Amino acid sequence: MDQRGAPYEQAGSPSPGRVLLEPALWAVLGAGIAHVVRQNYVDIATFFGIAAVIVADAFRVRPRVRPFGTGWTRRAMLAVCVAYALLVLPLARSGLALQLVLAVPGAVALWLVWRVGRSSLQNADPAPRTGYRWLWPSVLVVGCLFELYNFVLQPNAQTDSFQHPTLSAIGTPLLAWPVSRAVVAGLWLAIGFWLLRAIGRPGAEEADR
Amino acid sequence: MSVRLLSIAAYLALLVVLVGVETTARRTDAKVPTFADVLRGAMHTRAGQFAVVLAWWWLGWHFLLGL
Repeated sequence: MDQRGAPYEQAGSPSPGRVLLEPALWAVLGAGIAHVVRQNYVDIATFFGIAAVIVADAFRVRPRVRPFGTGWTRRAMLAVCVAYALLVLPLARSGLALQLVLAVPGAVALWLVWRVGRSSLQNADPAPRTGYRWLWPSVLVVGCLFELYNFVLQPNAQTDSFQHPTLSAIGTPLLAWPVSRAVVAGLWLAIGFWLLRAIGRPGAEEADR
Repeated sequence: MSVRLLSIAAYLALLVVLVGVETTARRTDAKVPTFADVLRGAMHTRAGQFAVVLAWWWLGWHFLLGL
């Protein structure tokens, strides 16, 4: 039972089948297909697994739970991000330890999103500005198409092209230095905190500014 | 200029555009949404919430491991 006294949410969304019309679901599936081309089995399993979770989430009946993110101050989150960066600093890029350290925040975050359920949508603020909403998606789509163009021009899916580098081919040497990797890891975790607060407690990420 | 440098220059140009859009959006009288507004909009559905968090996780995983 949640703090409002309601023991359970209604069964899934009002029209669970509408999840099949969600652009976000198809974006995840499209990215999964891209990972099939890349033959990256972890990414294939992750993206198709999350697509299945999205569909399952629309149909499930589950207890409503308390929104998360209510007990974390900015200072606490900053401390965790710095500690995380220090944890990443000594880890070899090719080692299993770094994979585990990177997998844990993702697994926890996705579990929290699953756990909070549709209650996270009830208090969501409407998008505050409606003008020029096409601008960001347009720029990002152009970037994705350019990335795809460079990927297609690679000798094969696993070998970077020198003349047509993808973003990861450019970023790989920049993140080869442990300090840069640790700093980016700390920033990455901070972004994750922001996303979770936006989902778990809409408006909290603004109030904390 | 080599094709490689042109490709890198194109990515940098894209970055400049993104920074420019965000800077414009942060003006008080701007009608352009900030990137945070766009993310909040994308997370107005459950599928959007999962997709945005997945995208965040995968970007860290992919770039930090160099996969």
